[in-house]
This record gives sequence, C-alpha cells and structure tokens, in this order.
Amino acid sequence: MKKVMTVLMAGGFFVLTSCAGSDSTPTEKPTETTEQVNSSTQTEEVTKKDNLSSILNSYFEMSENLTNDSAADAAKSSEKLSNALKDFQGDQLSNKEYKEVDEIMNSSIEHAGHITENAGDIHHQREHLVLLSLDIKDLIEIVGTDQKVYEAYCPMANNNKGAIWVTNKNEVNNPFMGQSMPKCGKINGEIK
Amino acid sequence: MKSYIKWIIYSLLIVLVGIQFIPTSINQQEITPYTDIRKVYTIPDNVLTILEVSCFDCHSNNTNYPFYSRIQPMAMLMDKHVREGKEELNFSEFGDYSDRKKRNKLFSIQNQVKDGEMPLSSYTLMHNDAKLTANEKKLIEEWITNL
Ligand code: HEC
Repeated sequence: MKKVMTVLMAGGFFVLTSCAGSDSTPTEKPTETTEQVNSSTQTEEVTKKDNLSSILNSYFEMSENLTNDSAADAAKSSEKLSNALKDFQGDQLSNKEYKEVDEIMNSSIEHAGHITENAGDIHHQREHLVLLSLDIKDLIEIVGTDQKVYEAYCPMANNNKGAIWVTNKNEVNNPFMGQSMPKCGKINGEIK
Repeated sequence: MKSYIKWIIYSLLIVLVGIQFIPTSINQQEITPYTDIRKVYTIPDNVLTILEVSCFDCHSNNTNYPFYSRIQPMAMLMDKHVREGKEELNFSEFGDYSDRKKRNKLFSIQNQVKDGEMPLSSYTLMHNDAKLTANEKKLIEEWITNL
C-alpha cells in the first residue's frame, strides 16, 4: 500500500507542476503589450525621418553591456533594441530595398529577442550578437545614417571563426570577449 | 486505514484518469512538402539520419510518437515541445525561410549542437538513441560548414 501511495503522490505532483508550467505563458502576455504601447508613443518623431538613431543607440548600449560582461543589462537594452526595430518605417525605401530591410528586421528582432530571453546566459547572448551585428551592418548600408559608424573585427570571437560588430567609436571595445580581452580585435573601417 | 488518506488516493486517481481526456494535437503529415529541408539541400545519409532521429520529433511536421508519449501528462509535455520547437525551427518549412533566416537557423543549429543544448535533455531522458555522440556532433558541424 505504501508503494502504491508514493507512486500516486508522485504522479499527482507531476500533474500539478506540469499544469503550472503551461499556465505561465499566458500570464506573461500583458507586460509585453503595455511595453509596446509605451515605445510607440515615445519614438514618433524619430521614425518620420527613417532615422536609425534609436536602433543604433540601443545596439551600442547593448554592445557596451556585453563588453562589461553584464548579461542582465544587455537583456534590458536588447529589449529597447527590439522596440526600436519594430517601430522602424522604411517609407523612403524602394521596393527592392524594402524587401531586404523587411528580412533584416525579422531576423534582427528574433536575435534581439533571444538576447533578452537569455539574461542568465551571456555565452548564448554573444552567439546571437554575431548575426545581429551583420544585420545591423546591412541595415546601415541600405538605409544610411548621419552618425560615423565603424566595423570592428575579432578573429577569436564566434568559436575562433571570427566575427564583426558595429561601433560608433574608432577604438576596440570587444563585446564578444568582454573583460577577459576587451581590446582584442581591430577596426576594419567606416561603414557607409 | 485512516479515511482521509483514502480520499487523497481516490482524488489522485481521479485526476490521473481525468487528465487522460485532455486533448492534445497530433503533429503528423502524409506528404513531404517541397519546402522540406531534404528538398532544399543535398544532405548526406549519415547526417540525415541524425537529424531524423534526434531533431525531427520537435522540429518538423512529423512527430514519431512512442506509446508513452500519448499518455498524460507526458502528452502535454510533448505537445508543448513540438509547438515551441517548430516555432523556432521547422525543417518541413525550411524552404520558405528567407536566405537570411536560413543562415540564422543553420548557425543556430551548429551552436546548439556544439553546446549540447539540443536535443533537449528532458527528451533524451526517454529517447536515449537521440543523444548525440561526439562524432555525430562533428558530422553536423561539418555538413553545415561545407554548405
Ligand atoms: C524534445 C523536443 C526537441 C528536440 C528533440 C530538439 N529540439 Fe531544438 N528546440 C526545442 C524547443 C522547445 C526549442 C525552443 C526553446 C529553447 O530554445 O529551448 C528549440 C530550439 C531550437 C533551436 C533554436 C535555439 C536558439 O536559441 O537559437 C535550434 C537551432 C534547435 N532547437 C535545433 C535542434 C537540433 C539541431 C536538434 C537535433 C539535434 C533539436 N533541436 C532537437 C525542442 C527540441
């Protein structure tokens, strides 16, 4: 009898915990929607000029957080980045450019989302930074920006396969290696 | 036996039987759509087998359900994995992805496999054959590098 009871108790516990697990998704929704409302009112003027400044500034902030090994701050700034990306309107783009930018947006919003979700895993955040940085570079090349921006390269990033990032300073502050090797890499040149 | 213990047992039994009626969807498809990754790339047989055994249950429109995965609460868990897994990566719809998205997903596969994050450990607990050996990881890595 004792055995039967423990089996049943274990079964019951499993049921309760698995139900609790599936409940957690819907309750997360409301916070998401309120944040979206906030951001769209804030950035109204910026989007009018097809300006990339809010996108770039939050990318630079996130990159700095990763250079400082701060996964939690990077998660927050990548959320800002997601919102800035979602607010972008490519009114002045040609059809062909728009199609490309649309794919860049889908891709970069996904990467930024992963960086937000992985506040406890800086290694995974940096994996997503590899391709996010390529998206940001392509975006600048298509849309253009008033800021001076540079492409930096580190051969040791991305499991020694090398990776680039985008920076507004003509000096190396490595978001992939962080404080272990903040000066590793070089500036490849200006992105135009 | 004390009567309240009996009641606890009865209630648990009822819950266990009751949850068997919770419906779960079945993720299966007869055809192989033209967007299937097997029609997008030529995949060497040994790599294809690894993907089919270790990944397709959660990342394609065709799940192989062993008998226990139809029993609650395992069925709910499997359902959740398939839903979330397909949202991240669906090998049956790979051809619909833009070039940028294809590149993202292949990159992500390499990293997830290298880091030992995939297949999910809650899954390999029951599917021992889905666990990747060092050699299998290398085969996937090389296949993607050479694409
Ligand atoms: C038991 C189901 C299951 C199996 C089997 C499985 N996955 Fe996943 N996979 C998931 C789920 C759920 C997610 C999304 C949540 C997460 O990342 O944990 C995911 C996410 C992913 C992602 C996106 C992760 C990211 O953060 O970018 C990749 C890539 C991936 N899986 C590849 C694979 C590969 C390759 C295999 C086989 C070697 C595999 N998966 C086997 C369930 C599964």
